[in-house]
Amino acid sequence: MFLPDPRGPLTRHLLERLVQSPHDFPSPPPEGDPLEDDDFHLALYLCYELHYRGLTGVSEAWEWSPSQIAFRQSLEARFEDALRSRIPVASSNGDIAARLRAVTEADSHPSLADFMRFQSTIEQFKEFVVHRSAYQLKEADPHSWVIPRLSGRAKAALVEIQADEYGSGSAERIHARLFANTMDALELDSDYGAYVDVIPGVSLATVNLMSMFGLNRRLRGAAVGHLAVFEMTSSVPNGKYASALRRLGADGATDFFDEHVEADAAHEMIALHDMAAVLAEDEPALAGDILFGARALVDLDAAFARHLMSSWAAERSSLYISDASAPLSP
Amino acid sequence: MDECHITPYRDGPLIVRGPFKLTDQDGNDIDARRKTIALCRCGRSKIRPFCDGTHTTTKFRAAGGSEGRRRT
Repeated sequence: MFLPDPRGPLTRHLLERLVQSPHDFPSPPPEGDPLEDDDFHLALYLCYELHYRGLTGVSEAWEWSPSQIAFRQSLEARFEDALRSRIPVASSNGDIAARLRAVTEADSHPSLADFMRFQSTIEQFKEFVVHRSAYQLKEADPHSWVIPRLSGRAKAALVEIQADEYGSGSAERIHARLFANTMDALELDSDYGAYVDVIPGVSLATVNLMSMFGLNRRLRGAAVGHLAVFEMTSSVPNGKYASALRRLGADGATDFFDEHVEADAAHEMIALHDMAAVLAEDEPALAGDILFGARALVDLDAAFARHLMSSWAAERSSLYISDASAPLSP
Repeated sequence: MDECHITPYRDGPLIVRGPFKLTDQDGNDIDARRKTIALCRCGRSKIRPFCDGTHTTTKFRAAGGSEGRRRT
């Protein structure tokens, strides 16, 4: 992925260092709202990208450089603290499958999918796709970090889901490829990371959440809860996104969404009953984090939906636009 | 997996795994597109015989196994 422009003190600090050889550097003081700040979440996204496809012109040795890891951990600690203080601690007693179902049923945030289905313009749909590209071009990768951390039935269930996400042996059916096809059909740039400069913090936060859960073994319960609810809340909205594209005359762009209606209807059951519920049996101490991961997803997705819909209600773009008046450190 | 497994999941579809052939009532193939599929059990799917997740919006309730049978 190419290097984006800095958005504030954190990204400026990080980018100035990443273009040099790995070296020790002090972590800058914390700034910004750790749930959605543009600078904060781009900085964290860049740290994680070192573990995915890497950054153009940046030494691959930065991936495990102690100063980079320390910087990332300082951001992760603030992100996780903010999430845990906003999300009520759930009792970990009871039937985890029923409780995960309750998390999705209690989710009352305005439906982005309904808005897209009935009202969105093609420009708004394209913006939505640009936001989603921060995740969908590496779809399933964050949860793959969790595979070696599980065992037995929960592991088999996760791999069953991931194998389908990765096209069951067919590169053309890899879900990230299907998303790239959708971008191409909408005349968007499907190169990995092409839009990172215009994706706001509120969207990057939804991806950073998965990366944080995936890259920290201690958060494997949260990663599993996240994936379960992700799959449980996927089929119906994706059907609505496909309907939106048909209404807008973009029939050639629907394959990704149609695929997810069918695929995630199966994944939902596997993720909920064979993965999350089984993990809660295997490691009862993780039950609280399974619910935390689920609620964190619902919470950040709601903020993402609110951002898109409030921007469009005000007839503004929902994308990040660099503001020359924004305070940047010298 | 060398035999077909069909599993009713609680409040959800029938999940089919393993070697299977899906056809219409005239014997024509229906392309399943994947190794593990979900077949509609609530009757409300728009893509029957496949599940499209509609059961989650209708509070469909069913056991995760056999229910209501009487032995003869």
